[in-house]
Amino acid sequence: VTDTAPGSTASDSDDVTLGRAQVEACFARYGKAHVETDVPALEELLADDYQHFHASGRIDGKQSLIARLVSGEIKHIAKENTFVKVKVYGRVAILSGRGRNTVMVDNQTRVIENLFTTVWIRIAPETWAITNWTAAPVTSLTRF
Amino acid sequence: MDRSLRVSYVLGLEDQRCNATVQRDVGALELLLADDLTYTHSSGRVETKAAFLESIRAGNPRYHRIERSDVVVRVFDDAVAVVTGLARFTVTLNGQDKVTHARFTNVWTRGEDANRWRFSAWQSTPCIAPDAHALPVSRNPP
Repeated sequence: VTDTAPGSTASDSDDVTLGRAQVEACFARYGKAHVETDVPALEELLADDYQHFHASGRIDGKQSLIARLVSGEIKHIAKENTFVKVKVYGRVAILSGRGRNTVMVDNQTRVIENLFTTVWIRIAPETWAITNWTAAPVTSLTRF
Repeated sequence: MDRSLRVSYVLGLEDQRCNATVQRDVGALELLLADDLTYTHSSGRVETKAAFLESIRAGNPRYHRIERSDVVVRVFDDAVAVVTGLARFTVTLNGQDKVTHARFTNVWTRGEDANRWRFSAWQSTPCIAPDAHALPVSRNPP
């Protein structure tokens, strides 16, 4: 779901529009790969120097995150995103938004809402890799 | 510009931004912050440039000190810089003094006015994990 968030911009060039669509597509694949524990897709989408700053304060790199998904330590049941906004600067893109993740923890289903900012790098003409994920919990101060 | 010089330049911008925040120098921040800034606090508050400046102007939160560590700058095509690190904020918020720790990612971009870099995005996350200080030493790309 794409919606308007604070700081949204307008009037972009064709390159920016195309880059935004590509990043949105990669981001959709990224979420799907989490839910399906699709390791080949994650290997492709995550940059080698990927850093994942969880809203809990925990940090994962590419291999540690994949290992935790494969082991079932992290099990995503569903990922929904709203207020997604993409800003493209040449071969770097910033995608931010609000997420609602349904996860399985200790055999219990939990819903976690967070705010996230991700950094994407264009690694081929139509291919982007995510290099950073930073999230904060949604709180009573969150206005969208 | 040579990458190491650009990294130093961006670190200088970071110092300017933090100093201006502590000194409540809204004029300086006005120049440093991009018009389309998205500032996502670890508290869950999300602000535009205008809202962030208004908070600084109002002094709530009032930043007394911002200390950073483990700061890593990555520069792409001499046009975008991604900065990560840890920050310790000494603030007064709603009349209460507090110290908060956060891990942050922020982005500086060079706009059409080629020599001016602007602070385009900030996202921080509460830093509470005991391993929070374990970061790679360097992530500057080749």
